[in-house]
Amino acid sequence: MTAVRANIQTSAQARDRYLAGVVALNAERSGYTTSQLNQILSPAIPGFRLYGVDQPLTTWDLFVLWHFVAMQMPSTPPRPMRNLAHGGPIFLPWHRMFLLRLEQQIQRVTGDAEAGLPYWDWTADGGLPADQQPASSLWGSAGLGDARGDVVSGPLAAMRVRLVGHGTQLWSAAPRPLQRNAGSDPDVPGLPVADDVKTALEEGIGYDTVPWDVSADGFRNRVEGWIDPRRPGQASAPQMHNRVHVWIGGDMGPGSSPNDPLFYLNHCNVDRLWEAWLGRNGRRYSPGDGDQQIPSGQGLNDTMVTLLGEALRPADVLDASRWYSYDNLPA
Amino acid sequence: MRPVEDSGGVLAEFTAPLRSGGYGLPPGGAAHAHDHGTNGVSTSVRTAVHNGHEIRIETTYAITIDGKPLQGGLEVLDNGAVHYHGLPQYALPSAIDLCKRVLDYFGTEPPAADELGCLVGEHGENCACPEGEPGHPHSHEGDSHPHSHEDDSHSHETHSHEGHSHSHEGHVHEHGEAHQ
Repeated sequence: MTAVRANIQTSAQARDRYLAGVVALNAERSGYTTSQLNQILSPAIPGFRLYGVDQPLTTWDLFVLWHFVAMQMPSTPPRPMRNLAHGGPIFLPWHRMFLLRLEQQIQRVTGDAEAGLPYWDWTADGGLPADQQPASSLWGSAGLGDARGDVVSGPLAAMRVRLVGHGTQLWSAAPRPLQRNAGSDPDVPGLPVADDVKTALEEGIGYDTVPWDVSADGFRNRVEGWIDPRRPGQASAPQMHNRVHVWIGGDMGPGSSPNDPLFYLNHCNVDRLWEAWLGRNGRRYSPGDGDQQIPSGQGLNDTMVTLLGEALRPADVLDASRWYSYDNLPA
Repeated sequence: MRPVEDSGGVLAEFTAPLRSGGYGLPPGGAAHAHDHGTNGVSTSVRTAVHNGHEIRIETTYAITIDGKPLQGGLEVLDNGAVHYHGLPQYALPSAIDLCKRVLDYFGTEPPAADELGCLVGEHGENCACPEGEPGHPHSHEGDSHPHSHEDDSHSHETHSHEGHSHSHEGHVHEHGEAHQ
């Protein structure tokens, strides 16, 4: 049996199991302190270190660190916001690996080998009036907790943030509650809507294309949210994945965004959309052999940046059926 | 460095790549933290070809906030939007608006004293060691302790010296906000 990933707003079992798992991982000592991690990572990544206080970190915190480190890794030739996890074709496979490792840790701490990450189909909430979106069934004491301010209600009130992005640095600070600011950015009043998904999955759209960056028009960049194909060439508000980060704000803003369990719900939905694309278009990835201007570290057989678990390549994750499936894919 | 096999659940095996310093990093010491600009100065280069002409636009931002250089730099996307690596999902038409977002998110003070810097001898403005510590930048006359929060009464007015862009082929000159 493999895990089945379910909609968090329709499966109370998936939601409660996920919340229990993330709280347990956030409390589980990893065996590493921040000073130890600096001793390990600084020689491997010249120019990188953690700032702030020396303290023990939890398993949850290591995922925050991993994401931040991957975001610091350049992919050449340099392009704005392109690194070994974002802003290029590696975005979807790298996050598939990242979520898989978190899912496996939830399975370990919950003792449920079939526990699947839930996804948040934000287009359902995006169809609500903007002022009602921060009050949907996702939020509140039975769910993800407070949509604004410190998270002090629900299971996630027990979570603590220890690593925080501050500018372009990662700081270790006194543990504090999660923080959010959902729906407060005047430029991003609402979540993505169903038409955004329809556009991202437009028939015939390729996975990615030259120049393999945040200006390219392909499925990857549409769902990552750097472009709005309905307004070609224009600097627009963040779309899809980016829009969800910005709409929630707070700890979802900086590169330490995996602090908030919402990070995984957002990316699980993004992964679900990728699974829909793969099912329609074949389990293909680009760039491939013969393509031009391939960014370093983003090829089909390149090892992806890994701090936890087995290192994988994009080729290893095009078919996820040995690990999980989704209860529902977009029509 | 040989990657471990998929270990599933055992935490010690799960963190083996971390103990090894990570897998999949750029080879041969090429792994390094992004160059995010120095002392608030950052330069982006955009290129395009139009009707056989090569357009090159170099945009340099020199940004201070309350007189201090912005930590990390800005990048200009091809569509003219401005991006700051510390807020990875944001790309705004205005560098001033982006600096306002940076202030809204991060304020002007780091979230902690930097004990970890002291441990490796990197004593900086935010380090945690006592005044007078050898190598401490505040051990000399006239400096206040970095954690005295004497600056708390300062306004958060943004001082932004916008980009100066020069294209050599396309007859495009940019001053002020980054444009398409």
